Amino acid sequence: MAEAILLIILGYAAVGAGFGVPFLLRGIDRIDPAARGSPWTFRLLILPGVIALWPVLARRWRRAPRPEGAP
Amino acid sequence: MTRAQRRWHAAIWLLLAPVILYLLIAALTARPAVWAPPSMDPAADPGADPGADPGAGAAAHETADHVEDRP
Amino acid sequence: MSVGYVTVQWNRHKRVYDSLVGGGVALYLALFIIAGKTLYTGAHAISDEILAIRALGTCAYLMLHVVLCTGPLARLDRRFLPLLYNRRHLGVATFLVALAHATIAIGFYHGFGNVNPFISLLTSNVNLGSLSAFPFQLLGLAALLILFLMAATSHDFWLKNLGAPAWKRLHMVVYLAYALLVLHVALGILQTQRSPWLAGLVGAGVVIVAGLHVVAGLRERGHDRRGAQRTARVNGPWVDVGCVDDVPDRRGMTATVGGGERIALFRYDGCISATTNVCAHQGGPLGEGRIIDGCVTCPWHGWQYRPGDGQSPPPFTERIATHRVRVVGRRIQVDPTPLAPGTAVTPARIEEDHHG
Repeated sequence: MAEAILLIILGYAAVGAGFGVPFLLRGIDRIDPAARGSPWTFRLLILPGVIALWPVLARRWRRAPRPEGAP
Repeated sequence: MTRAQRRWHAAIWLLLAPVILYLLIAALTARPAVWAPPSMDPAADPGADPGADPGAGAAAHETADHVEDRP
Repeated sequence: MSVGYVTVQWNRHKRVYDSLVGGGVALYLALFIIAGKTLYTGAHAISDEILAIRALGTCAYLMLHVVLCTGPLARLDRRFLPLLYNRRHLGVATFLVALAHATIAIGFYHGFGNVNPFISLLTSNVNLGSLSAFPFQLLGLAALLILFLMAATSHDFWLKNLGAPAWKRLHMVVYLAYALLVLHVALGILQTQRSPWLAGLVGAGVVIVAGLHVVAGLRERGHDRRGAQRTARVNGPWVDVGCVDDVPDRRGMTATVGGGERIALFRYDGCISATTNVCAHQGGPLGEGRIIDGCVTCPWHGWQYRPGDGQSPPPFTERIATHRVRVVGRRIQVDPTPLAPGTAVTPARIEEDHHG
């Protein structure tokens, strides 16, 4: 039981970390114009929150308008 | 704060304050008159392996040594 | 205000604030450890790890009290506003101190076996039915998770991208964390440390935090009730909300009309303007702010709006709702129906009777 809980939490966080890297490199600029050109320290600072709340951001990223010139 | 937020704050505290105080008093009055760590009391854990009692094991070992050392 | 995010929005006030918090934490920990080493010697000596666990735990618990009291104190007395201004940094510091407490505690009590420390934490005590032997550590862990979520989402990026209402709701879960921590303390250390002083301090903390919230809430309710009796007397939308002499120059005043959101009135350059009282940032009470550089300035975090149209000065893009306003004799009358955020409204001139 305890092992299962720990595994679920670790799995969720691992997916969050996997999502976090491309999100902080590209996705964040798509969902929030104010993040364009923001320093990498800012992106690192919000990484723990991205790992914790990745489903919310993933949904926003999917719904974000495509940038000009994208297929 | 918006009107809704003010109402939420009031509702939460009117509900939470008595609950916290009740639980705090319950926890304080539940303290036994003379406190002993719960894990040290074998009666509190009937499923425990009696062989795991470090005191009993040490006593048996001591007796055996004593017998062997007897001239 | 959001134009481009910076890592930490430091200014002089926040640097002083953060230095005081950092210095205060260091001083508290040092005094606690020195006192612990001096008072408990010989057979009663406490190990370094346990002393550190207790110092960090009590420090975080105390800091959470300050964080929780800041909101109602600032609503009751303006002099506490500087505490509120940078409360988020205090909240993040509280989480970091609590995290240090938990890390040492889990390492010390669960880290020396061959079982994963977290598995050990979750499985070593399952006396959920007992009060005196309750696994109080789990309550602390749950509270730490809440504090983590709050610290991790404290940047303005989250406020904007989760939306202010959802963000505020998420951060109100801190009250649940506080309840969990009171029980963590009551079922943990208070079970072994029997001093009535310690139990009294924990009880006093609860009474102060809950009492301040209830008192501030009652005061707000009184304000809303008086406003609910205020309705339009004659045909048309205009509602009398007070005298121009009630509003100090370059300052604001708050009025409640009917059951709507509060309205903030500002006096500047011989005019009166009205906007919503709710700041677009975190819902700060704009009517308690002042006019700085020609802009309404929120007393909480300094967000600014032009009083005439509720728009933040460029390059900022925030907007708040405005209200139509007129001055009849010395009386201020507003239309309680808010206009769309950013709508320009002609300010009402004070000098002469104005029936527009």
